[in-house]
Amino acid sequence: MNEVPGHVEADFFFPQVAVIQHGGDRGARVIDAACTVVTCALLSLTAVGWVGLARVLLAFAFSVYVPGWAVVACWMPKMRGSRTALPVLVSLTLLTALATVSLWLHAWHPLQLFDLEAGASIVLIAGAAIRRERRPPNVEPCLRNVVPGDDG
Amino acid sequence: MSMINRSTRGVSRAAQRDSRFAISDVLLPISVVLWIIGVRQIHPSPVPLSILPAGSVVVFLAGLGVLIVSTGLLLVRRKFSKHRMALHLGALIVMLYGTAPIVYPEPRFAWVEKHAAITNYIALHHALSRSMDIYRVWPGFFALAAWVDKIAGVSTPLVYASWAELFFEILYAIELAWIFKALELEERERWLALFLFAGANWIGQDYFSPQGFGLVLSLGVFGMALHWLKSEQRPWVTRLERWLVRVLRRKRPRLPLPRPQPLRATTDHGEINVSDPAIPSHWSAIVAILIAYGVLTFVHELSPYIVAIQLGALVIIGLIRPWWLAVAMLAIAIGFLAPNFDYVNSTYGLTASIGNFFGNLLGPSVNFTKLGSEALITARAARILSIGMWGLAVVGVVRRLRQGRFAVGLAVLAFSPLALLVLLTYGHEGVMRAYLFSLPWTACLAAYALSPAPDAIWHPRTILRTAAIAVVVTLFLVAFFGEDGSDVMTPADMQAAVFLYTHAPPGPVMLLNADFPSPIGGNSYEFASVDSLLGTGYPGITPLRPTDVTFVTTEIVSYGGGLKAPGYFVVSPSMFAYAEEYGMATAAQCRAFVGAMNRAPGWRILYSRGGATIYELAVGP
Repeated sequence: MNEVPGHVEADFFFPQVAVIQHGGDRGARVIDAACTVVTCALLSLTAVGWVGLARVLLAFAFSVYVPGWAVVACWMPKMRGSRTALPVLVSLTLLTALATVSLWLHAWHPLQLFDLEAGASIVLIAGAAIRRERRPPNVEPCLRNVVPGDDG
Repeated sequence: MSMINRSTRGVSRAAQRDSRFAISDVLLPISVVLWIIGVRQIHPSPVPLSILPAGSVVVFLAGLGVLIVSTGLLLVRRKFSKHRMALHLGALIVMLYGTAPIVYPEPRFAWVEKHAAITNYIALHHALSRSMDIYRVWPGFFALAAWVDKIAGVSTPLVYASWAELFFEILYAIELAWIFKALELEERERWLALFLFAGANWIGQDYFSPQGFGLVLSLGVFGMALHWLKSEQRPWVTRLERWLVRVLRRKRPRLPLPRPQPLRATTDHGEINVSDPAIPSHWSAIVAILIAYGVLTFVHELSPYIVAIQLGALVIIGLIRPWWLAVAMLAIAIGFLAPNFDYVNSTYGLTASIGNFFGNLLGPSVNFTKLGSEALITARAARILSIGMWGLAVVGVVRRLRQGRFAVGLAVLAFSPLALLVLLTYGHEGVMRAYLFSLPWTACLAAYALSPAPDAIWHPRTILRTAAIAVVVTLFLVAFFGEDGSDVMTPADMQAAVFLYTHAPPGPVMLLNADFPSPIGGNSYEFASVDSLLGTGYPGITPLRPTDVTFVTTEIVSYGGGLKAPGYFVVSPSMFAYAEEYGMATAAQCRAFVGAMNRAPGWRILYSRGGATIYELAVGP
């Protein structure tokens, strides 16, 4: 039931589901850009040692989302149903694991660890974006759930 | 192609229709404005909400009331609008969990400072300490917090700790919104369940704590398992459901046969949410779940076992496969506990409460012989809310069975955490943790019981549903804020704690009772922590008498205080309020005792401000 055989058939059997030709995943691009901005800004602030509310907010934004989004975008690029919850979970899991292991190993270097995590996140996000953009058009129609009750 | 165009036009027309005005578009801003005005009225007098004059919170409550009415109207709107619901849910979470950090100058709960001290110790010493007690064994949350502090450029988590409740509740809502998509629920039921979770999570475990953070990871584990490892219900469970339907006798059983559960959820418009086309492979999913679970294992001591119990119950009825997943989870949790079992068992008596289900069912109030009016009302509201939610869940199960929908899975998730109480009391907080882990699924079943559907605004069902939400939120307000008279630390408490742990030379510290922000600061673990005078360590102390000063001196000296290092005894406004509220001592007894301390030989007043006093037992013969 989840397989939609083709464009016209899909429209016939699933009138509520609009089949949209592949025009790029705009949502993913926006998230990529936001994550990159957050990471670069936080890297800059930690490098110059600036402190303030902006740095606190950026630190939370990064911790809660960016590494998780990098992993999800890279290894589960089609996971569109959980673009918030899953990256949050993955981010918190990874960062907790890395922080705790570095504490247990008596290798507590939080800023260096952050540089590593930020660098890896940027690389993964860039890799995922390149793969996404290189995907030939029309190969994989993008199914979007267009719901009358969904006022988005 | 023409069909596609037609469909697209139809969709855009539907979208246009839905952008029509809704009453909630006016009510939501009104409720937010009322809340802002209400909070501004409360803010100039930073005292606990529970002891504010009733008149000063009227506008605050009016804002909340308007929001609930608006939510009730949205739930019956013919064109259901999930974006509007999301805004309402966000507003509810901010109003319920964002008010305290705005109103109170200090974080709620003395434990916040203790957790901040552990975080500061890690940031300062880059290591764990034996003096950290049980937290040394489960350091995940503190390591993450210390790392975040360094990245955020703050010297202590107290900078942001007040906002932890709001932060965690937002994360819970995000995780639950994802989880609920894996359940067989209508769109309206899912949103109502999210509202009920936010409005009924009274137990206050979402402050800056490992358990608050652990719930985020726990929900993530549930989300992955329910989305990626969902399987067919076992035939015997379906037979059980059929039998239950026959017992209920209202309708002939028309349960569907067990069937594979694809990732699909229908909405009340009958449309299909196309599932994620890329579910990770079976093995990748299992590895991801076990990694998240493994991290949870070293974040919080209790959460992994409740998660294992709940997922184990789903494995037994076949809704999660493979069967060995629950075994692997338990192996991870027990494997982590085993090397520390002797220490944990000797300190907390893990095995002492095994099998005492009814004893373990009693809440924390059983620790106190006499409760003050605030504590009594709070305990009653909490009990009514908990039993009410579980009662609604039972109604939801019955309704689902009568309507031929799967019910056993949700019922198992909702009630299996109670199995924890067969094993341990957890300081009489086990029942609260059972409620917390039951709440997401209880909320789903309760939402089903309230059956949100398109309806007339003045229909009795609509009014009843809105009233039910209002009752839940009202009970929440009492249960959540009711004890803030003693739960909220005053600036005098904080200043005294900071003075003691940053200016005084290290030595043993005894408190009147545990309601004090102690320890605090990265070096506070150099101070030996003596059992508090009115704590469970000295049951013979109550009622408090002036002659107990001698006992205090003897105890402090036995820790080396006054001999090799100074010793300290601390009293503060929060401690007095706590002692009075929980029947440990009356205000008169506290005053008499403080008078005796002021005159006690060998003791001098080291610090005194705002009702907080630090007594020092000086070193010397």
